[in-house]
Amino acid sequence: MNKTITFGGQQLVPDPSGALYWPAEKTLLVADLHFEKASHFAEKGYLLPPYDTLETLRALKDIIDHYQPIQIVALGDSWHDMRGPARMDPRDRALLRDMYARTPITWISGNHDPQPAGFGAHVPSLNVSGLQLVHEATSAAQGPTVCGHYHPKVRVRLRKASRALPCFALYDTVCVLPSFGAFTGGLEITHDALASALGYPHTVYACGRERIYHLPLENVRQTGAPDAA
Amino acid sequence: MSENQAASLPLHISDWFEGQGWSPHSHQLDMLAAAQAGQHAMLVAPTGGGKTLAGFLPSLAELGTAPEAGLHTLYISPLKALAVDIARNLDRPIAEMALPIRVETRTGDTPSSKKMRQRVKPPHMLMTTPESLSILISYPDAPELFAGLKTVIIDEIHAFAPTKRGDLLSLALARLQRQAPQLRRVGLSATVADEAAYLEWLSPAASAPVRLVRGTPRALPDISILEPSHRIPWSGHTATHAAPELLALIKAHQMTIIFVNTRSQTELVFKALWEINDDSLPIGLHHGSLDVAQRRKVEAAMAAGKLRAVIATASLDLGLDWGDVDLVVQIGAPKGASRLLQRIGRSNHRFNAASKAILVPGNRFEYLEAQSAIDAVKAADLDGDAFKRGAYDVLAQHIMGMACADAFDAQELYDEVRQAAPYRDLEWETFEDAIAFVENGGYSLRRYDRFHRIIKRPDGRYQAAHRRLEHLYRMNAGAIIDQPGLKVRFRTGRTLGEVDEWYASGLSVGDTFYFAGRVLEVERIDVADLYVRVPKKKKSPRIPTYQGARMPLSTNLASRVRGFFSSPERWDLFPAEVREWLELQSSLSELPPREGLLVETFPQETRYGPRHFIVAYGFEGYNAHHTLGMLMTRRMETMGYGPIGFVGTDYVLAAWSMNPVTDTAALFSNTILEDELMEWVAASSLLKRAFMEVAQISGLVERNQPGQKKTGRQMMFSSDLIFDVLKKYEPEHVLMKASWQDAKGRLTDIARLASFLDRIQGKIHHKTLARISPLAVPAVVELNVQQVDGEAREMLFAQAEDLLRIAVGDA
Repeated sequence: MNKTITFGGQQLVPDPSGALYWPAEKTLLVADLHFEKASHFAEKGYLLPPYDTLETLRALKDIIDHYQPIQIVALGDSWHDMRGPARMDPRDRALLRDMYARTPITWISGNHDPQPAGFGAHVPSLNVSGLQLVHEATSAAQGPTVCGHYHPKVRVRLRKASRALPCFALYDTVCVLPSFGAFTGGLEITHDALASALGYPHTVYACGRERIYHLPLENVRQTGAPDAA
Repeated sequence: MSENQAASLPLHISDWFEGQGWSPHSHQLDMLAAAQAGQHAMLVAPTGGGKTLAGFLPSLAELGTAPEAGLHTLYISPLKALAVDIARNLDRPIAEMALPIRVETRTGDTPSSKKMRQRVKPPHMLMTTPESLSILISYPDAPELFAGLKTVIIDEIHAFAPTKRGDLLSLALARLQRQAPQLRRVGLSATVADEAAYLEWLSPAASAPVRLVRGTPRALPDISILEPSHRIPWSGHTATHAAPELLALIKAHQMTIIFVNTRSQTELVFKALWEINDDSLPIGLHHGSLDVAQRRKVEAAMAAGKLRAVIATASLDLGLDWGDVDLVVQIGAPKGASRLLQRIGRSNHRFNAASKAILVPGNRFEYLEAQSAIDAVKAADLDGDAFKRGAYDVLAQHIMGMACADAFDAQELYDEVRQAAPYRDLEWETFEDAIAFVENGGYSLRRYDRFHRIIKRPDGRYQAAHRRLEHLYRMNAGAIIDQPGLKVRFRTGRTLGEVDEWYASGLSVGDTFYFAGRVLEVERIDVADLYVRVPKKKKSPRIPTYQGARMPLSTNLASRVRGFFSSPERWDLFPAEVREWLELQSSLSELPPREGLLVETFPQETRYGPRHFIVAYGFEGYNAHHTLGMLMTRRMETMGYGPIGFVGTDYVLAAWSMNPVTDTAALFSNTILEDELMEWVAASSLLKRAFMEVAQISGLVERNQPGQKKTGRQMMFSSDLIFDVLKKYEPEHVLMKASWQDAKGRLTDIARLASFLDRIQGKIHHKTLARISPLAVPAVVELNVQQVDGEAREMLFAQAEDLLRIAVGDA
């Protein structure tokens, strides 16, 4: 049975894939899909395998099949760049269209994809039952806010090895989703870019291969944390 | 020296020799004769025999009699520092012979203005590295630069010919040979076991002859084993207990190099010596993790005679002549006769003096190994190197380089590439795959028809798609991949060296560790930096252990070690404790046979209750045992033995389980390689690690980009993601093939394991014992140290001495 996060008075279910399911609203939240990231690099001469969009779409389809949501909200940076839709393979495009036809997707704009790219509604932010859904938030957020943007990861010790796993990071007013896209890396929660915007999370939910690990902060290895004075 | 040979020595050179009061060595004259006959040549000679001069004499002769403008001789060294050193050493004879010869170096450290000038107005002799050569031949003006090249000298050829750097160099030489068909190849090598393989590597075409010249062998080295004045440890390799004897040896000699096998051992030995060094003898440290500036300082101090001892790893194995070393100490197992000989050669660089070396075994098995190494050196029985087929990622890099140089025709380049020894058997299909990869990624889903690194012109030739890509290629050329590391530095910015990511990930803020000869406390860990400070209070440090690849016991030494068990008449070579240990084994169990395999099974009480052990005395080296351990425990699982864990050492494989193993033949059947191996390699991180390197060498991802440097940490992660997707969607891709090729060759010693399993079929001696055997004690102690999972780590065993009491029935 999956763990449940209580955030902003709502019950939310973190999934090992990196998606967040909101049962009360039958809504699935995903962040940072970064479609067409490989082809973006291919333009520059780094010929990465062109299967990332397909892989991301398949993962998305699996999670839709599992939770059967009535709507999906993509929390921005769904496209790696604004020329992405033009580079998209026709087969991938058909797959996305098909998916959208069955389950409407609301696209929140991100820094990588500030303009609409088709496939449905494109909004700067969304408020659903008291939760503010945006691409990027800081600790100055007013009211409970769910966002993406930071690609948070956490270093955990499993057996003898220490591994960085994508994670859901919970702060006082902000809940950050891990990135969902196939070729998206991550930032450790102690990284300056994250810590200076949000401070340190009080709880993280790390995405293992099969399950979610619930980690209250005292169990999290803060390898990069400054001395707690 | 005969009249005939003297006649071939030009006057300016024979005069110079006379002026020095020297007469040329016969191998120096032979190298000259080979040059005058226009033959390729390889000189195999020990250090200190005037080997480098022998390589350069023909060029000095030719340039002295008929000086011509333009590049005449190219010298290639595996080390930048060696290239610089050799250039400096040549200055003197050139000046004394008053030859109008310009010698310059070209490495990654050479300023770009000088590099530019070298291409326009080349020196007569250019000293460089394989990486710099690859870059040179990628310039469009390379044909003019190399058209008149007469000689290429490849130094320390034994050190890198069988590696990926060797593959890259071999491809570059094939290109040079085409641009300068008259080019003569000269190889300089330390003594190698398989001369024919090196001759073939050096040869410019399948059947082109290379003349073999052998130097006079040096006087036999004086090697001994340190007499123990203490109990010999059961386990461990550092022999820190011998610190007082070591210090006495240092005092008794002018300059000692103490070689150890791993970086962490340098720290341990240094610490042990430092604690008793009451006379404050100057002792230095030298290993690959130390900052370059720190290493240069230690080297300079050695050369100036300011140090009495240096503790070093393989970082001092190669090349330079650093001061008057009169003693070499090897701590722990020598691992191979060739390696030992190379290290011993660091002492008494003078040709006619015998080198002196002392071996300090760390445990009982290492006594057997040390004696085996001495025997092998005396018998000149050296270890062979495994030459592998040329790597595909290196090929892809070379193809890109050739597209930067000039538009190429695929068939022509294929013919040229196959002149390089590692690629002589390259199939056209694989070559096409490599071109397709460089062209547009080579993915079967042809998404990237618009994106290219090279493009096919209407005339069918390929050229680099963009000038920017040429620049990128030159920034990244080379086949040396650094393990992603973190810089160890003070907050003030001063850098002490590097630790690898795996090690750093085990450290927390506030942890202390021993590094660069001091105790340091972790202050902060960043993406690429480990900030440290000197701890306020005195704390006991954790000792760093590095992940670096382990060098296994050579096949040759393994067979000699096995031989000792069946030669009790030679046991008086060993200290009493070792001798008694072998005698006890003989009476309580059985000694490992020369052929076949001894396997012991016995119950042993542990903290968790009674468990069952199986110990196999393979003597096939750490890598092979480790791989076999992985496979064997899988099979034990299916057979219902309930394996808990295993440990592989250079000598034995030991595992423990819930139930006793009865069917040993099934565990050591050679089918284990077919059934379990592929599954395991595919599941382990081995392939991922190999892919990380392949992705960088092949140019899929670049290490250096204009204006930024990706850290290893980020690189590791993104290549991991790419690997997962590629494995899923295109498992037959050329980069996946390259990763498999690497993974198999690198860590798993598959070939060795296969021949071992073949050899022991039907010859397994299974001893079912009521209790642990004396020979099994070290392995069981080792199980305490190396564990396969967290739970097993909790297991506490009785100490070795207690175990031995159990073995002899006293308990």
